[in-house]
Amino acid sequence: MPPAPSPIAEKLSALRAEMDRRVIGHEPVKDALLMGLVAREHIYIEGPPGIAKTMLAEVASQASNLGFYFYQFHRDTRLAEMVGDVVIVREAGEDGSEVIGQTIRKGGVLTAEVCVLDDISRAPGEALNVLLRILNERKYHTESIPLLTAIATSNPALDDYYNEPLDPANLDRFTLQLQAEGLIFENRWREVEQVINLFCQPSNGKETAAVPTLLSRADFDEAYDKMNRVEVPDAAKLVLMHLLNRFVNQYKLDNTKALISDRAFLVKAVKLMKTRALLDGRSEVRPHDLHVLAFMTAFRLPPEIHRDLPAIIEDTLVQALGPSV
Amino acid sequence: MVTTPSSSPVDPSPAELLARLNQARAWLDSRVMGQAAMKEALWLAVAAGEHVYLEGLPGTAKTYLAESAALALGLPLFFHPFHRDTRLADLVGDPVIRREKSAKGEVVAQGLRRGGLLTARLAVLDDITRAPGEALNVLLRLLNERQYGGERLPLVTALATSNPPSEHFPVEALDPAHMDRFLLQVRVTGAVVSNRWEEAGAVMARHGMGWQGAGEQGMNGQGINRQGTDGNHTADAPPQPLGEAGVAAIGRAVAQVEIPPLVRRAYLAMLRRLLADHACTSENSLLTDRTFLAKVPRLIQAAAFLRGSAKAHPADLAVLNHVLTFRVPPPVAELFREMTEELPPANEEVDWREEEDPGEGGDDQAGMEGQPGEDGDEEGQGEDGSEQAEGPEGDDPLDKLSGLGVGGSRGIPPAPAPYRDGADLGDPLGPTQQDPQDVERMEVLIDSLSGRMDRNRVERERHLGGSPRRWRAMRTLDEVIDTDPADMALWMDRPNPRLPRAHQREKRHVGGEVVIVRDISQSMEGRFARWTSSVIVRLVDLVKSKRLRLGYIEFNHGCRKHTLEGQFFTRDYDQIIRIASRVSCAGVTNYQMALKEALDELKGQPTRNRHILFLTDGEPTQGDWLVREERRRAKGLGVPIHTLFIGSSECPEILDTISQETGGGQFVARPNPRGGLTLDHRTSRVKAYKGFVPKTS
Repeated sequence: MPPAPSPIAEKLSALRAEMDRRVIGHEPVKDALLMGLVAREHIYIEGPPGIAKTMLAEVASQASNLGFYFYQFHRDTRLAEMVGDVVIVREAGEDGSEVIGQTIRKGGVLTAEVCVLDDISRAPGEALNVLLRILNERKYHTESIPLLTAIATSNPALDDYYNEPLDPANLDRFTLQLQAEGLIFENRWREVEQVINLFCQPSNGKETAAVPTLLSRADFDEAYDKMNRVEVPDAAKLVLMHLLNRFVNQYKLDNTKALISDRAFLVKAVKLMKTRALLDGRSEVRPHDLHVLAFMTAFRLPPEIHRDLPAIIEDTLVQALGPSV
Repeated sequence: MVTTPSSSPVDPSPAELLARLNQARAWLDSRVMGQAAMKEALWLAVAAGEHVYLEGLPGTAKTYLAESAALALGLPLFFHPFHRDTRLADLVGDPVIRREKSAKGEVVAQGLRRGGLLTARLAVLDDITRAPGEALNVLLRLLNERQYGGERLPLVTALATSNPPSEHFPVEALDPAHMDRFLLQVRVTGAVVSNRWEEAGAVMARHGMGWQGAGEQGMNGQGINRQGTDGNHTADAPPQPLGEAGVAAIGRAVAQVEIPPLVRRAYLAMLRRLLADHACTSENSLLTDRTFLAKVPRLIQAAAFLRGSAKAHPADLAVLNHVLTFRVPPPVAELFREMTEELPPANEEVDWREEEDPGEGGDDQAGMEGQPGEDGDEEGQGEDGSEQAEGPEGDDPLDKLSGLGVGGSRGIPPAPAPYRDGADLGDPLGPTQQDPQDVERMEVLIDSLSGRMDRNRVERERHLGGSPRRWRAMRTLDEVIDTDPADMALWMDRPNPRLPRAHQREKRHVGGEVVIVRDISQSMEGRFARWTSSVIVRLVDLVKSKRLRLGYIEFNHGCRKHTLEGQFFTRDYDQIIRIASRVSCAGVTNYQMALKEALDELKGQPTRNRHILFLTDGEPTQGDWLVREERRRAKGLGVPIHTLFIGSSECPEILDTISQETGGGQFVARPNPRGGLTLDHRTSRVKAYKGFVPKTS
């Protein structure tokens, strides 16, 4: 166990190192996972099966000693399956009568701190809407739930997959959005080779060393608190405004082509910039942190703009602050 | 990595295990003639602890093979024939109601008596594609994670069988995510149709036809009796089956096989080649990290083990043939097979540096020099572009591929170049879709149509896999999982013939058809045609987002239906956009024929979400101007005809009539001073037909 008084940023980078040790490649997923845990935001990953999404989430929750819950969505998904077991209770009433009632034994998303919601787009709309409401408000009825982050995955909405894309309103609840293709199709051959070598070792894969406990829930509470107190200087606000202005006026993005909600781009974007600063061990946002917006835009902006976003952001930084930055 | 093997001290030696496995193989060979590929995949799967997918016509011994394998290995078998209404409970055991005493009273909860897949070692999932696509999801997760409710499944191998999806079989293809769960995939063919007469003779001999060793002569195929006379081989017992412990020991022995670095590099080179030279993309192939990076190594180990070697050899890479079957387009799989046939035989001690796998030397260099990352990135850039042209190099047989249209892998559509990048469209009208800015207030049309499509879509139908909607009386006890728990608890106190209530499950009605009918008469030439194409691009996007099937008709005095591979309705939306961007206009206007064609196509469709989007700029000048018959038919079918009038002149009254009678939307697009179009709702000057209620509500 690490020595007790360790700055939170160091602990988080130890967690990141553990993820790196366990899973080769997939940097964006790891970044998003860390940001999601710290900022308490949900993550949506769209990509083919078998790209270590679940494994990363598991590693993160084990190393942080967090409650982990995995749910595979299917056509029969009912809300009850995700929140625990529905049971009937028969009790003696006050006046000697018998009372029969229905209640749930809490479980699933109500008790977990990290959830993986696999193949979310297969769920029937009814179950999904209530679930997303729970995720968003982090409340069930009146009680708060301990959830830090939910990682939803989905296969691409191709004709071959019997799924439907999430509608924009639901998608907007996932602040962090990623599109992943897998090492092979991303042509990351060095990493491919590493993975093959790993699995080619005799007897590997059956037993691996247990994930060490690096953090605790209290650390994440502290991180969240610290993140909220990260300062946002005017320059950082300015560049964000510049960028949003560009989306609307230069790229003519409106609600038919993009999903630019105030919640996402005014509230969540700032939160993510603060998180970035915290993860880097700073107590103040820098204009450069604007680059975290790339983690939000995979399905909010048209694909070509999302692709060019790093360049657009660089350009915005120069435009807003002059070449000195 | 911790590598202490969990082998128990009593594990027999690998040689002994193999000898016993070979006995089982020999016994199976005596029961099931031929079908070498299927058997090979089966044994590899058992050794590697993986699953097999067998696709082939009925009567090719798929099921029989699986049953025999279970006997030969002495493993408990779970057999489930899938059907349209298969549900999870059928596979994992029986749903039960459990009553527990609690401090305050009693708690009634639902439980599961584990069975089926949860307790089997070998499973046959027969006709797996007959289950509705969604039903398979949890099942396949079980297969993949081998866990249910936190407990590990003892399952070794599942064999899924399926008929090939075609017009003649009421099945749907497995979706790619599901397909990936089956590491080994075999396309099974019958002995007769694939000209394997020796094998056919042996099968007949086996079944009492007395043609032992019949060889080539006399094989005219008549009088083949497949099932009737097979009483003679059910009695022979397998020799000393391995049993569960033996199979587990094999699994541990396989894990000990060494894969030398050169085999790894050869494998890596093969993978790179699939992408770089064979145009495999994520659109037409299913090359997932999990399968190819984590699972294939174990399969290579299994191949070496079955050969009786403790060290893998490049020849073992031939197992990839069983992996690629449905994961890459068929021509690629075929060429890969040819390539692996030229691998050095496994009993040959090769100087691997000299004699690398044929057809791989070039790529392998990069791998060996340890610079794959850089190299790969360059290739990646080349492939991100829409064309994958690669220069022919050398006389490598695989280079043939660059000339082939390697698309059309079943279930995985070929990748058409995205239309936005397509400079090669030969579009005579210029960059139509590049600047959709020239159509303003498009949202008027899109929002309205979107709402109408959704409204029709929310119709529900009874469906076992649907969501619970309302209560109805429970009919049979197997519906217990859908019952109202409170009702059930009361009923259990006092059972009576009136069963408790259960959920009625209904499914959202998804799917539907849209026909875009577009005027290409002379008056549409020029900017009107360009604008119309812009509108169609957006309409197609809308249809695509609703995942409806789309048909496209152009008309002037004649009418041109676009069909793709003989099908009018398609989900190849990009293709429709390409066609719509390439229009040339001539002739005069005839509404009637186009509407008739559209209705003819919609008539046979079972869905209730059917729409016609009718785009025109003028009055009809030919045919029945009032399209009376078509209006009547559209009403009868409940198909709304949405009309969009494009132009600055007065909108013909007949368009209003058509839309109102059929319950369609009415829109108009007027040229604006900014050189584009502005869309709006059209206020109608025709009173609604009295007493008419649109069928679509």
